[in-house]
Amino acid sequence: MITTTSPFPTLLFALLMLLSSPVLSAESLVYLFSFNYFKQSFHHQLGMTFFTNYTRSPVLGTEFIFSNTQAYPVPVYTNVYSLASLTYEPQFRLIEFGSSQSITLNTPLTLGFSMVDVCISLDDFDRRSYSPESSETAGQSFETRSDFLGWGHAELGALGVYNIGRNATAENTWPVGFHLGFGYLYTYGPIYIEYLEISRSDYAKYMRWGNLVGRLGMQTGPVGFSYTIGLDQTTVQYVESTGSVNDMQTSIYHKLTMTFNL
Amino acid sequence: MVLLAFCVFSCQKVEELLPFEYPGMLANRIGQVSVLEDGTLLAIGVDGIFVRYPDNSTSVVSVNSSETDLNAAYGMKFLKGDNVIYGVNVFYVLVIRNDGYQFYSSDFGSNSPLSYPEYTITPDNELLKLSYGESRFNQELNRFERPIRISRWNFSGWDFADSEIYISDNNSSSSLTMVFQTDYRAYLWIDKLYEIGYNEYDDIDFEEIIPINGDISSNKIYSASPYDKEIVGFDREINEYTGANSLNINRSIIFNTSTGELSGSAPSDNCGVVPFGSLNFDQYLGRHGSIAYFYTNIVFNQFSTEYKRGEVYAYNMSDGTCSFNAILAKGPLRELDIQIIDLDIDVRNELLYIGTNHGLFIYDRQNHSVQSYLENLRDDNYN
Repeated sequence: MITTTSPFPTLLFALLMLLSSPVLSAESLVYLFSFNYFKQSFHHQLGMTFFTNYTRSPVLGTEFIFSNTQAYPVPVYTNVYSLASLTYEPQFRLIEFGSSQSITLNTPLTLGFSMVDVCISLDDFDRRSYSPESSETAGQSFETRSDFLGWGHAELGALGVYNIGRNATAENTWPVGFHLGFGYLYTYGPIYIEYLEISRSDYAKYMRWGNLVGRLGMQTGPVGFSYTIGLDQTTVQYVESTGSVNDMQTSIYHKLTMTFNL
Repeated sequence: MVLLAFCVFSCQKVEELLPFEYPGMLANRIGQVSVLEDGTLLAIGVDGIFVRYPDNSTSVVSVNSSETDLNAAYGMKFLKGDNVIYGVNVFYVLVIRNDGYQFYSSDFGSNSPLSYPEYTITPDNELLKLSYGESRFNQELNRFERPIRISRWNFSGWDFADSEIYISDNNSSSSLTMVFQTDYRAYLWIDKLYEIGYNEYDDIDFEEIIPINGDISSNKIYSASPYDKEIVGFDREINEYTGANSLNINRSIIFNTSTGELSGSAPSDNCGVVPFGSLNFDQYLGRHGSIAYFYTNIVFNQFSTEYKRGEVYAYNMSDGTCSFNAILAKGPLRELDIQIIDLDIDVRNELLYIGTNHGLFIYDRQNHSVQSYLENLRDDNYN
């Protein structure tokens, strides 16, 4: 007898259901999103993270270190260290295949309690808080700050998600469900700037960016987990005046979320 | 998960931030700026000479500022040959190539008159100089006189040949006016007008040209240059290379080499011709077609309502009318401690290159925007 109290029998049951279900057989019925049946076509969740969300923007600007005849570009980017975040995620079932599978449009909106800093990497081991003030330091085009820039970030995005099992449709009664999605998340931060003397407009170009993301998730009962990862992670190579080449990763996105059905 | 892992590790992009040439000297004092006819830009600063060629490639000729070389470079006239730029003044010839530079003494002897020679680049890519030769006594005319001398640069000195045109020593203190054509012919304008052929190195032929109206000797022409079938110039000697102050002209002079007609025009009232109908300016920027460009500095007053640093006059030499283009005290030019030292005009791109005590700036004459050259360079490379 298969019980659903331990995770492994649950996963096994889900796998059996998946293999035995008429995934796209002629008998399956296909339903499209309809406002007339909005309640059946709509689902929403609340997500939470605690120290499980880290984001780094792409290169948002370039500053320079000068020799007599050369300018050496160094990357400027923004780090978001999320302490906690809350996500509200509506899901619109665009297409349902029978009662066990669907493709949904998910539009998560996240508010994060996070430390946000605009940074500049001078080499592999020398990363500093960046200031866009005009440089008064010889040999470089930028200035630095002594502390991080501000608090809080927001995200808005859209993902196309393939769902199977629990929550895939309103009727589904499987004990567990899975989903796989791809989309784009737009991040804005910091929401609150730490220092009054800093003008938000000076940092405007470093405060918003987007990430291509992929997501894998599992749902059992009203609770689930999902892991979202950036798909456009980029290795930035830049040269020091000594000739050595530095590598750093940008466009990083990692987020492990605990979800609750609403 | 496999798909995600595949994407994360195989779709990963690599972005390179590559260094680029950055002439840091352009952030410091720029004492002279020259834009040549083909668009080549030269800026002389405390660390050397910055050159930007028409294809946007650049080089910095490092000159030790403690040497006399750099001082010699200021005030030079620059001419462009194939793969070489010549800087010339009465004392030196500066030869700039991509891989370095060399100063040569210009054989300026004690017997030479203090007049500025004329230079040109021949169709064979030679540097040519027109000047006065050594003084000698002419017993028939009972006077000291000097021949007109044509010299060719041989990269160690001047080879020269004297013509049969002799000028009284009394008249040889004024600068020569030579208008070079592209076919080894030139017009020499002294107290008479000669058409000279100098294709044969030691056989300089010449023919006097007499205008159908007017008198050459009473219409001395300066800073003349060819334009279509005309020789156009001014009635006063001006030096576009040294940026001397408080210059003025009273009229333009035009000689049509095809019809032999001599004409000219005085600056019209809209040129602000004071006093006595002369056009006053601080620097002659050069000529493009029949339009001559002058710069007038305006002493910057932070309480001024117009906030102008200067004005560029476009003077139509044919009809004497002027149009004006202000250099507004915008952006970095708003700073009182930035002093304009020298500037030149890039007519084709409607730009001014301004040398200041805080570096080189680019001024867009159309939208009156100003940006430091180095910021512009950075934007071109990284924005």
